[in-house]
Amino acid sequence: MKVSGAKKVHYESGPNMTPLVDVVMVILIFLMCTGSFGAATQYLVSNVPVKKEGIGNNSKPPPLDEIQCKVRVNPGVSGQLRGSVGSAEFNSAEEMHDQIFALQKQYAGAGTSMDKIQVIIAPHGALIFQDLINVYQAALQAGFTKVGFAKSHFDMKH
Amino acid sequence: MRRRSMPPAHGSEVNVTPLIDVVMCLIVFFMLVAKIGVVSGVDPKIKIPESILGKTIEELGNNIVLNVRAPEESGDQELPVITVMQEGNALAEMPIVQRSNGQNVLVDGKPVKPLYMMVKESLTSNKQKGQDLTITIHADTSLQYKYLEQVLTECNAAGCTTMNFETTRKLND
Repeated sequence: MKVSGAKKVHYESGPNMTPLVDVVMVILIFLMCTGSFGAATQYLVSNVPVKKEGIGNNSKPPPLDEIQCKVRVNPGVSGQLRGSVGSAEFNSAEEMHDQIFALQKQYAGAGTSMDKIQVIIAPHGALIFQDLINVYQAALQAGFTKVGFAKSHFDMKH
Repeated sequence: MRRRSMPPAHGSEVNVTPLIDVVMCLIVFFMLVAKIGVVSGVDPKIKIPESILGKTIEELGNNIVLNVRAPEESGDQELPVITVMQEGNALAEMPIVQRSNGQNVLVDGKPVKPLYMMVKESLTSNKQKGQDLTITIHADTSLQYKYLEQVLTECNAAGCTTMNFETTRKLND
């Protein structure tokens, strides 16, 4: 009696996918290793850099009809900002924000064009960059178009 | 006696089709999202501040990136250290030095062009080509203004009127 052996196995497997998977995995690992995923970067554009005040002013003299508004900023206790917007004092970032907005409303109500108002941020020398950006941003949010920086001061008066 | 034959073999390999589908999706995602080989010159160790406002600039064009760091505590001088980068290449790493009358200054025994001269020359050469030059300030969130001020003053004195403060987008809460 003839004993037949096991039949040949035919896999209905189509094309061999193993090399494809290998290559694809290598590409995936490469992309995961080399790619960098940072937070979205943006830029706050400053058109008016540092303005010197008083003697030694090396910038062009301001136009005669220019109104200057000074925002004095000091670092406060436990990270709170202190300072003044014009003559009004503030003791927190929220108050600073509100006062800058109120100032803008005051000028807008009087019909003053924002082009004629020069906001000068006068930061304390120890004020950190993040706080400076917050003040600068508040001025831009309020609608002021000309915002510059003064030389740093080192007294904590408002 | 009749022998039973082996049952027909079915495709017994692991089905890799879903795997390939997923992996292909991941590859497409990474290719679209990842920034590979994009060198802007910014120092990734510097943690930049957050802001809600800000422009997204797709093409910065001629741009100089100033990586500004506070001076090391051990240093005698209160001078911030900057790395000047253009098109991803470091032009110089140096403390801010006083602007000089066209002379290089020695930093660690090597002659280095002051920031003032560097910016002024770049502005002039770009102006001759009819191109604009922008300066991007890439400074740490905790950098004190007394250090940043020196950088701004030097750039301003060199004739730069527009500067970009680089920030990350903060979600409005």
